[in-house]
Amino acid sequence: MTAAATAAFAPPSGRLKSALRRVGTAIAWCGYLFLLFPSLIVIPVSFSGAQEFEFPPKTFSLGLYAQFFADPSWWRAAVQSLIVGTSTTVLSMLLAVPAVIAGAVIMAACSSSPGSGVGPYGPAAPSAPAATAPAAGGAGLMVRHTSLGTILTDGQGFTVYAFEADKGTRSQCSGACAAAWPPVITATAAIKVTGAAKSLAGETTRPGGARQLTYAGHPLYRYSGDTSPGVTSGQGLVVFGARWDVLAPAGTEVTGG
Amino acid sequence: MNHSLNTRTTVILLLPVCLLLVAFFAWPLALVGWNSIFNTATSALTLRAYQELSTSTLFYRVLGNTLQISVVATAVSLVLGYVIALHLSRLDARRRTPYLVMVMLPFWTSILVKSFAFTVVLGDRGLVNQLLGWLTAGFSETPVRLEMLFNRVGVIIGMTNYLLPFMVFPILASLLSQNESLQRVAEIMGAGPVRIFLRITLPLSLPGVLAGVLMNMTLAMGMYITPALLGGRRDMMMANLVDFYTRQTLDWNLASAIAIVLLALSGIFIAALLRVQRPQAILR
Repeated sequence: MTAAATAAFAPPSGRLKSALRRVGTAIAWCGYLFLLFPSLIVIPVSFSGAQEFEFPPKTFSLGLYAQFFADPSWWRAAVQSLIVGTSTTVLSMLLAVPAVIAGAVIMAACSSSPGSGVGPYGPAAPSAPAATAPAAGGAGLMVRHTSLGTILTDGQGFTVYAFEADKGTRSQCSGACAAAWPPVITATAAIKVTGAAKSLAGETTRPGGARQLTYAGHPLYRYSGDTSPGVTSGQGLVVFGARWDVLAPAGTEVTGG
Repeated sequence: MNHSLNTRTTVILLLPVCLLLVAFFAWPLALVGWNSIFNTATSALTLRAYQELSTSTLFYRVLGNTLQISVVATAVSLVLGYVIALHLSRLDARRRTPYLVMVMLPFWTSILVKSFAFTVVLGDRGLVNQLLGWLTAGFSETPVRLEMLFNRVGVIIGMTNYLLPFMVFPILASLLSQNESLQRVAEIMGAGPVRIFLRITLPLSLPGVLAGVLMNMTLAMGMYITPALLGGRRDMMMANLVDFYTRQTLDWNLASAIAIVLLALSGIFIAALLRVQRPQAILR
């Protein structure tokens, strides 16, 4: 939304908003200055002619630098710092890189439990969209008896939905839609089908290149509002431009609910 | 992700770092714990150090100092850090970089150097007092001076300066991960900026706030250099007390016991905060 549009919608709050923003920016700048000042003040002090720490320096001189480079006990300490710093960095890298590789593999193996986004360092910045979250590896399809009759679910028992806007096997749901309705993704062609017709199961390539499961020609999605297996809270919703329905094992859309 | 490693490779990859942590972290920590209860003179286990601490007025005063200074410094850094993070989050990615550098720069300056720099800024004839004297020259006979060095104010200013980046970054991360459309929707529905902030932006950033507070508190409680350089005689903190016992009175029992108490305090603090944070994590 542009600033002009904002102003047109709500002129009084727009004025308040820009006033608040100005105050915030001023305080933030005080913060930046406060952060920088002690680091920057060191620079002019280093050109001072006096032997003691004074600011602002009364005389300008390069004497302190001359002293630093002339006296080996000064620059040797600097070289020493450089050596220690480099060795520490190399050593930590040698120790940390293998550990991170092992950790990443372990994490990938346990990635079936999502929801660990908040570590001690805050939420792990914009995490990958939920679209590919469910069911990595070979996906599966199962059936489940619910109030809507026997319906198709993914390998973990979560209800899968068909999107009426999809043209054939081409998915019309991406971006925000795919965040709300994560496509059922498979990493391998081996789809494990139990209770439903294996001949109806297939896959289609999504715009991003991911492989999405299809059933009777319908690309399949999970609904982010379904919190546990067997929930069918997405049934009959008309969002993102068309209706979402669960599928019967025969591959037909269940239109009740 | 199908590349899996077998157990042996995983163990070999993890072993060096585990050995390092055991040798240089777990083992020394265990030694500190052991030192707090083992009397080398009599070769016997004793709780003398803890008993002595529990009746020591010095210990309680330092404990009070530590908590008070840590809480105040964390609170100041939270308020300032939130505003900075908010300002950073509203910039587009390209314009944000120079501002991020301004927050990062103090990270790269040694805390020792920064503490000395603060003695120049805050000192009796320092920059702030010179400025104050110049501003008030027309109003008062004697130049106005603030005592900001070698007292609590100095410690808190120096500490906040050190802690601020640790507050800004977690909050910034949680602000940037918010879905912008939420704010836009609220705005279209007629919510004012204050309401949008209180009902959407602030609650969604709470995990970041908690992470920042957690880091700030644990770092603040173990601070050593800042209170030693900028604080006065009465602003001794726990780490300085440990130093006092190890180097001046050579009472390792007591020093270890203080370290253990400090560790336990930080542990309790972290556990309490994580407990508050958990429901947030589920909501996400």
